[in-house]
Amino acid sequence: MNAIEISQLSYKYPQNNYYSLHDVSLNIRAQCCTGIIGPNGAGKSTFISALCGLIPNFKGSIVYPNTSGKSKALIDCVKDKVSLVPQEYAFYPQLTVLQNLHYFLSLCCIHNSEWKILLADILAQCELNEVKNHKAKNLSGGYKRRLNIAIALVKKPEVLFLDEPTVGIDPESRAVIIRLLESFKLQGKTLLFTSHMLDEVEKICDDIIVFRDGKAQMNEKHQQENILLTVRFNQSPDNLDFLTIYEQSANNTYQIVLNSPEALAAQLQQLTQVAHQIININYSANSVERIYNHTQALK
Amino acid sequence: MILNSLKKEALIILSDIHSIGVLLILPVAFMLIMTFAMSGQSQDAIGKITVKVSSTENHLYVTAYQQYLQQQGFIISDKNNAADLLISLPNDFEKKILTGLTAKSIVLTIKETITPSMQPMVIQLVHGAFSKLRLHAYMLDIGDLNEQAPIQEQISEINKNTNVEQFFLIDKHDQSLASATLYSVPSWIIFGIYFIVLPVSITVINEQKNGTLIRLKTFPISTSHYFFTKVSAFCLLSSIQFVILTLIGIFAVPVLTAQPAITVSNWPIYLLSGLVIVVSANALAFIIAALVNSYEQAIVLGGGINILLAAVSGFMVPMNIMPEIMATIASYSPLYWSAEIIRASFIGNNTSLIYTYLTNLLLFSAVSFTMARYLFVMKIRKLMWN
Repeated sequence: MNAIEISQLSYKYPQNNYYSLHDVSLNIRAQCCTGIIGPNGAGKSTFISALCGLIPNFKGSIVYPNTSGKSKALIDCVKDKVSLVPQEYAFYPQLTVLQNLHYFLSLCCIHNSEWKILLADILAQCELNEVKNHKAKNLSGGYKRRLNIAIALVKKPEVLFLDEPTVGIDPESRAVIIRLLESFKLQGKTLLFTSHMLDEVEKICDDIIVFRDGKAQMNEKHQQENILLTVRFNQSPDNLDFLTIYEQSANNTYQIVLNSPEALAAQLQQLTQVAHQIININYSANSVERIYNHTQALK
Repeated sequence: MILNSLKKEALIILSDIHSIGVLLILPVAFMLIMTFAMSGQSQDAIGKITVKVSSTENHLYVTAYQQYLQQQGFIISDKNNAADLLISLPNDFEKKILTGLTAKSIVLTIKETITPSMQPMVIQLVHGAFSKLRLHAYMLDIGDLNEQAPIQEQISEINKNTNVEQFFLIDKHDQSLASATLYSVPSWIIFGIYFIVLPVSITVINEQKNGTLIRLKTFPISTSHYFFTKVSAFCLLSSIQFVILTLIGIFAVPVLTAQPAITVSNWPIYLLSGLVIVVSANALAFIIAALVNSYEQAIVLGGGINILLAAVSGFMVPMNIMPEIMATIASYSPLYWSAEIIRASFIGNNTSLIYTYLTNLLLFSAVSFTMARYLFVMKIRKLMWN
């Protein structure tokens, strides 16, 4: 089941003469964690902004299948079900952790009787209990990140967007946030988050969207589980049509993506038919880093 | 939601020493300084002016004139250099005083030690003393005054005849005598109330800069709803500020500046007026807040407009000594209407003026809030998270 269906999404900022999002069509699976990777300026944050409804005049369509009220603006349709964790700290630094949560909670349509339980739950989940009465401006970077996430949780969202939630914090706080994201997955929330930390994306995400120059490529989990075969010949082979070439690099090295051990065996057998000498051959699991590098190499 | 918004805005303002300074300390300081500065005006200032009456003769009338001037409050000197005001009488003054004086025959030399604002009052008093002197001469001439009586007795007789206070009933509140307090306290209360523009603008800019404003877009609250919640919160804070400034103005300022006390003549009207003033101050503040995008702009535009409006509203220079064109401009300023409402509430003798200016302020607030809401919604709509 899809949480969000995106079709031919394009957007150009008024001050730019290029598309920050260009013809993006993909589906976000419900109750899955989708990582969004790509270099700075590739369109990741714009993509999340568009999905949250913060960009009003985009081309194409964004559909939340379970949302009614098509006549209204996207942001009005999705306000109740999506939450955003911006990269910057978006809270009131002069207020304490608890005061911040109280204030944002007061903006939601949640009955007062539920507040106490919800707040206790959020504080426990985000491991903020020990600093709940501290002013936000006095918190460490890690706690600030957690407060940033905690505020997004007061809406009890079905879909959570996080923009680089682990940037600029120590490994301990990062581990807490990773645990938090994993717990959201277990709770059945749909997560989308951008990150430059490919290892954490690999660890948490089911699907990966790689952005480059406003264009997106979706890689589902099974693609990450493919096998990557690397073969190096002594000279350029004449005919490799039988191989699904994933990438050709210098010195006659070829990378081939295979989706099963059986396919690997078949490919190895065919490779023995190639006239040229194979200097080196090895295989490994495909990785997010490789997907990322491959996408960035494509022009 | 409103209670939590009020709590949030209050906590933010209380944690910001600069906002408290702008809202409370600045106006109180102005009230004290300006009341104290103005306390030396009028009668007290006259008592510091030295007058020399210059005449080629040493006649009874010269002595009498000096005494009449002294009764008006001037200090009489016999040295030209020490005098702030030199009155040069013509030759044969004694003979000319009743019928022989020609136009401009008495010369007044006013030194720069008498300020321009004081000069009209000084000239009035010199004229008053001279009128008594001419009556003195006339009564001697027709024999109604005993020529043989000592000069002091003659002067007392003249004073008795010219004392007209008993014929007048002055329909004014006693506190109108407290001119310095009555001028300063309303003006600087209003100045402080309208300075809400800075905390409002800075709060909005902070929310814009720290991302909370754009985050709020994703919360289930409309921009208009958020706008009016914020307006309500700041109006309540301004109301508290109004009450605090009023109490300081009534009880502390007169004591600290050794000036006569002032009281509110009609508390219900005063509080209603305060509410309308608070609303109009916030209406103006939210227009500015919706327009500015940086702290620098907030300080220049917010603070600058407030100071400019105060300057043309008779706060810094009293309206009665302004050129007519400036006084006309001032009469269209919401700060002027607000200060006049407060002043009239203290004096308590001009309810129709209060209602007229309250109506003006309500219209101003309605137009300003409509404009501010539109600008605020546009500002939020343009915000992008990137």
